[in-house]
Amino acid sequence: MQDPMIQEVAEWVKIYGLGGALLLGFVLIAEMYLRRCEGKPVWSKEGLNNLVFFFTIGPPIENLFLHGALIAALFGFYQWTPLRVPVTLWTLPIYFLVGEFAFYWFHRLGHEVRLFWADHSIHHSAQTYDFTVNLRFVPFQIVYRWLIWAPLVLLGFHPVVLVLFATTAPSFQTFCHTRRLGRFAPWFEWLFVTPSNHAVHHACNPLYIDKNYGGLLMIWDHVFGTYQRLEESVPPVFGITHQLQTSNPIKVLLHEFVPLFRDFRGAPTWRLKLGVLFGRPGTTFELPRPEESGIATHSAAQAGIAS
Amino acid sequence: MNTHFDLWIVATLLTLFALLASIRLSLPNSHSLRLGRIGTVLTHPAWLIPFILMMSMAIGWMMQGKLSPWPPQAAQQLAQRSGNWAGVTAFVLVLLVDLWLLWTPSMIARRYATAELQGAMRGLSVINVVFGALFLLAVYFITR
Repeated sequence: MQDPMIQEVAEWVKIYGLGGALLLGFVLIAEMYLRRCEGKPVWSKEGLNNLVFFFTIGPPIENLFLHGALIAALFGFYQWTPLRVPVTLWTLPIYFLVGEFAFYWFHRLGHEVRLFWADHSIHHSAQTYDFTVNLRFVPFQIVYRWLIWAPLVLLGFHPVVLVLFATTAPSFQTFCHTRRLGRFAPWFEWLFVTPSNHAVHHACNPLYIDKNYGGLLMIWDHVFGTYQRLEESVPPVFGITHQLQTSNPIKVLLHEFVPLFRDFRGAPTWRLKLGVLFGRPGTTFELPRPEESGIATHSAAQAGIAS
Repeated sequence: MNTHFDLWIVATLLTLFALLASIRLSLPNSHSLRLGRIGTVLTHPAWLIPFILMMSMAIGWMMQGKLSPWPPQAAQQLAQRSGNWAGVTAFVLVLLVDLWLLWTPSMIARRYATAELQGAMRGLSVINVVFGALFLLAVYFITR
């Protein structure tokens, strides 16, 4: 971290994070107020659980260590490649679209590769959908973020802009984790990530699973066929197909890593073992899950039954 | 011939359009206003996209004392560093950030809230003003 440029990027990320944290604080105040108006406890059990994730594996770890490591690693590639995409007013729209493209695939990897889903499912295991879900951080997303960003840096895209973009999409989505806002104008719903578009993304109904990966725009979802609007006739069931019935943060953290490890160990061939790690969740070799974990089954989700 | 083009003019225009879009969103029942084609384009929510990306940054700068929450002071700070157009951009940007911190989110929430939540959303405006003002005053007095 001796390079002045790297330090400058880290400083920009820090400033952006400060501003984002304040906005997050404001939406949480709004959440507490609205829950009180609705006659609910100011903090749900799951909301408190989310706070634990925020203060342990959230910004303290992510901003202090992991973003620094990501920036340093990306700059290593940038110095190595002879290619350059200049950062000018005229190339910023390209950076924006490429940043969205990268976010789309980073997010899609998090859902469609079982090893990464074990990490990303922690965020999705929340069965409520409110502003506190923003606090439900996951520990290893920097790994699959790096896998997507590294080739772009090798193509000459400047890591500063890419990393700054990486921090903007989640901060935009801060405002999307709510069911209290209705549908926006149709063109807006088609083009942007909105509360209802993102509600689809968090739902485990078969119609909604693995849809709407966009960060700020939905365009790459339209291009790759993963866009799904919220249908009035199919109310979203929030959570994952194996719903958790525990609020123990350790169990939530490990809920997919444990079966992943068990299935990897139990898979009879190396081909199946690799499938367990890199295959699509639900399609790989799987041992029966123990009943004691108190999970709702996939069929319950298919029937649209909220647990 | 002077070919130098000040990019801060573009930044000023973008923030100005974002301000117009924000003002429109901040007015109660503004969605029923008839503004004509030009008015609709100038106040279109699409102008807010660059601002959405800038807002966290501007607030972060405010918290670090690098940008005043008082628009004339912010304009002075940036004009000294980067020229007059930068000062104009800073003025409009800070005005825009202040508006969002104090008022606009609660009005957007009221506009799109479900019918049963409309009463609760009115109280949200008070919360928006109180916490926004507390933050801006704290930043102003601590960093001036």
